[in-house]
Amino acid sequence: MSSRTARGNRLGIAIVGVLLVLAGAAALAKGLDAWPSVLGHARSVITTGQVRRYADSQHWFWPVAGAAAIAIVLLALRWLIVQARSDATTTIAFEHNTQRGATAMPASAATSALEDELTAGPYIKRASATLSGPASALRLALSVTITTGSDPATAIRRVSEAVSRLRSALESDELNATVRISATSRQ
Amino acid sequence: MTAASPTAAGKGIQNQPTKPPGMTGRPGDPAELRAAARAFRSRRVIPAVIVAVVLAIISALAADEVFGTMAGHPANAAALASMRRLGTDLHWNEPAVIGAAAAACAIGAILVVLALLPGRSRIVAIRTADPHTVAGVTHLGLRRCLAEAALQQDGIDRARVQLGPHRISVRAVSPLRDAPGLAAQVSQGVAASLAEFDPLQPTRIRSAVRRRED
Repeated sequence: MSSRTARGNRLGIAIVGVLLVLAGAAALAKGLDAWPSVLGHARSVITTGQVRRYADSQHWFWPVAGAAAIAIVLLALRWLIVQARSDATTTIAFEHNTQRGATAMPASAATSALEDELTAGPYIKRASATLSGPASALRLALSVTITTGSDPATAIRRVSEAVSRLRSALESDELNATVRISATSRQ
Repeated sequence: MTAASPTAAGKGIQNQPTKPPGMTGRPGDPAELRAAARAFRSRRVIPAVIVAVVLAIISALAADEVFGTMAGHPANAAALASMRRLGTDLHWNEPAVIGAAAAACAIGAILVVLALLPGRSRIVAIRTADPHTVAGVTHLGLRRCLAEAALQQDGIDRARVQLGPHRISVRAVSPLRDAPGLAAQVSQGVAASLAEFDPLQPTRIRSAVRRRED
C-alpha cells in the first residue's frame, strides 16, 4: 500500500470523527438545553415548520443537497479504490543529459533480479520487492518469507547483502529499504 | 506460575516454573526505534474501509431519495414519510435524540483516537547493520520460528508461542513424566532463536511445560 494512502486513511478517519463529535456535541448541548441563546431550546422539534418551509421554498436547496450526497458517494468510493493503490515506480531514470541522452531501466528488472537472487539460495522461500519514488530518492519495500527452522541470522544477512548489491547496481547509496520478514508454517 | 505436585490427580498438569531469565536482548537506540515505528505503523485500512462503506451507503440512499422525490417518484415513500414524521414529532430533549447524539460523539471520538494513535503493529522490529534499512519480522513468522526452536528441545512434542508487549510466552507439551529443568531449557532455546533475529526491544521469555495426556 502507498504511504500516501496510509496518511489519507488517518486524515479521512480524523475528519469524519471530528465532524461526528461536533455534530453530536451540538445536538447533545441543544438536547440538554446547555446554550439556548445560540442553539435554541431543547423542547423544540428537530425539524421545525420554519426549516421545512425554507427548504421547500428555495429551489436550489434540494438539488444542492442531492449533489452533495453524490459527491460524498464518489469521495467514499475513491477512498475505497485507493486502498489498492501502489506507488511503485515502473521506470528508473539514471541520468538525463540533453547532449548524451537519457538512461532508464524498468524497475521490474531490478526487483526481479533481487527476488531471484534471494530465492535461489537456501532459507528464503519467497521474496517480493517493490521500488518506489524518484531515482534520486528510491525506496525499496521487500517482503521475504524464510523457511521455519532455517537459520534466521543467515537469511537476514543474505537479505542485507542482496540489498547492498542492489544499491550498488542502482548507484543509489542512500536507497531506503523496508524489509518485512515472515516465516512459512511448519512442514 | 506455580509448580503442581508430580502426583496431582486429574490432568496431571506440571507447570514447571522458570525463574524468569530476565529481559533478553538489548534495546535499540531511539532513532532506530522511531524509524521502525514509522515504517511499520498501522495503515488503519479496516477503519477506513468501514467508514468509507458507511458513508457511501448513507449518501447513496440520501441522493436516491432526494432526486427521486424531486422527480415525483421517491425511492421509498414510506421510509421518507417516517423520517419526516420523526423530524416533526421528536424533540431535541427526548432520550432517543440525546442517546443518538451521545453515540455520535462517542463514535467520533473513537475515530479521532484511531487516527491519532500509531496503533498496534504486528511487526517486531529487528536490528540491522545498515542505517538505510528498517527490518521487522511479522508476529506470525516470529511465533512459528520460536515454536520451532522450542520443538527442537529434547522431550518437547508440541509448542505454542504467544507474543505480548516485551513478553514471549511458550506453552509446551512433553510426554516425559518427570523432567526438571525442561521449561528452562525451552526458554534457552527460544532465547537463542530470538537472538538470531536481534529485536530492537528487549523481551522477557516465560515457558511452561505440560505433560501430555496419553
